[in-house]
Amino acid sequence: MSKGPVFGPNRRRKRAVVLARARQGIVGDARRAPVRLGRLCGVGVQDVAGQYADGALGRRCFVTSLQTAFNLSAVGATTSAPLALGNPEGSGVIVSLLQIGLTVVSATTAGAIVYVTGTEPFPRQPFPSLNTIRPVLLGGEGRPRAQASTSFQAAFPSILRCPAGVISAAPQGALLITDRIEGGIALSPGSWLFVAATVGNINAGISYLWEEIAL
Amino acid sequence: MILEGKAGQRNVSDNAEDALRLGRYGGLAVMDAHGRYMDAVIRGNVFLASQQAAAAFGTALTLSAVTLTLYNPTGSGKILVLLQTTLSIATSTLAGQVVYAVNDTAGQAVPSATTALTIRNALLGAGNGSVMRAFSAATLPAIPQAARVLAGIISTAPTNVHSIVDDVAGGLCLYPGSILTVQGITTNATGIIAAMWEEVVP
Repeated sequence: MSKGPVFGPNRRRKRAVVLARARQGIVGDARRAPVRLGRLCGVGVQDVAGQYADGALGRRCFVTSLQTAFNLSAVGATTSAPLALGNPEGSGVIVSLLQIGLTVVSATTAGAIVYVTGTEPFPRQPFPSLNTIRPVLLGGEGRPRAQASTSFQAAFPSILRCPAGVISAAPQGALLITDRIEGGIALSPGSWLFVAATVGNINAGISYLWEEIAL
Repeated sequence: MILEGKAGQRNVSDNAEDALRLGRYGGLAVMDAHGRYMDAVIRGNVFLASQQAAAAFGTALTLSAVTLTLYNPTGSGKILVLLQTTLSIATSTLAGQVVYAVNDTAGQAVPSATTALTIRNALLGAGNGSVMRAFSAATLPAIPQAARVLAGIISTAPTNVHSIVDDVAGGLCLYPGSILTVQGITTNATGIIAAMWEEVVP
């Protein structure tokens, strides 16, 4: 009887313990070698590329940014988005937020910078209100399904997250706030998010980085 | 069977098979396929809760919690795995700290006199409901104990813009019956706290 692999429904699965080898030393390009184990038997790993490189090369990651700082709207009855990120209904993707960048330029009232969302559906926006979206692979051919709007408004949106605060009416210093959401918030089709504040006198630049995942 | 890989950069087309890549020193070369929390979010297991207005964190740990409080009800069948919290401080005139404070005594009473906060699925517009409870005010069964620091306020007259995003990454988890709140010690800071967590079956 053959000892070769058995195919079909009666196939028996072979079991094997996969080993790696604890060692140090250089492996030349194109050479095969055992995967490295650390002293405590963990598999030695290293990053092969930047964190978002695969999404960029796969044309799944996009960025959009305000071209100049805007006053953040205070959360209330009519809350305007200086820059809203929306996933239009019927887009066929989920928008997985990776990073939001914030640069506070001025503030005359202390308060919190927040992300808000609500139940109003995000309609496909008319052309004049759209902010440019670029693929992270600049010059590449990515086609975003998300839309960035500079004219979106929401009634009494609710606060999702508070990534930054202004603790004085006259803050000083220079600071880049990079909020690494890492996919912890995602927009299903029809939903949206934007940056607002608990007070009306915080002026800031905003940028979004996200990945689009096909449904 | 020993697991081998091949060193050096190669480009692989979709559907092609190739050897695992090794780094120059034999480490297994890895990369992120997506955002760190994307898979859990798309599966509908990650949730968000936030205060909707600034509140005082208090000058001492107290059983009268008036900021974000998370409660994993007894019998929920799930564990709350805290992933990230964000904090923005609006005012403070006393130096001090803001901490995570917990009540984790087996068989303790449930929080009373609560004001509920909405819990949203992190996949906005879709997803499962949470089995946890979030409050903007609650009476705890006892004075909670600090379990982890969240922010230090170093001056009686702070003047900066700040970003406090604590990547807890599962470093605090709530077993059913446990309570976590955020409170101040010494400081009289006011602000907003928001949390992101995953719910997993033990």
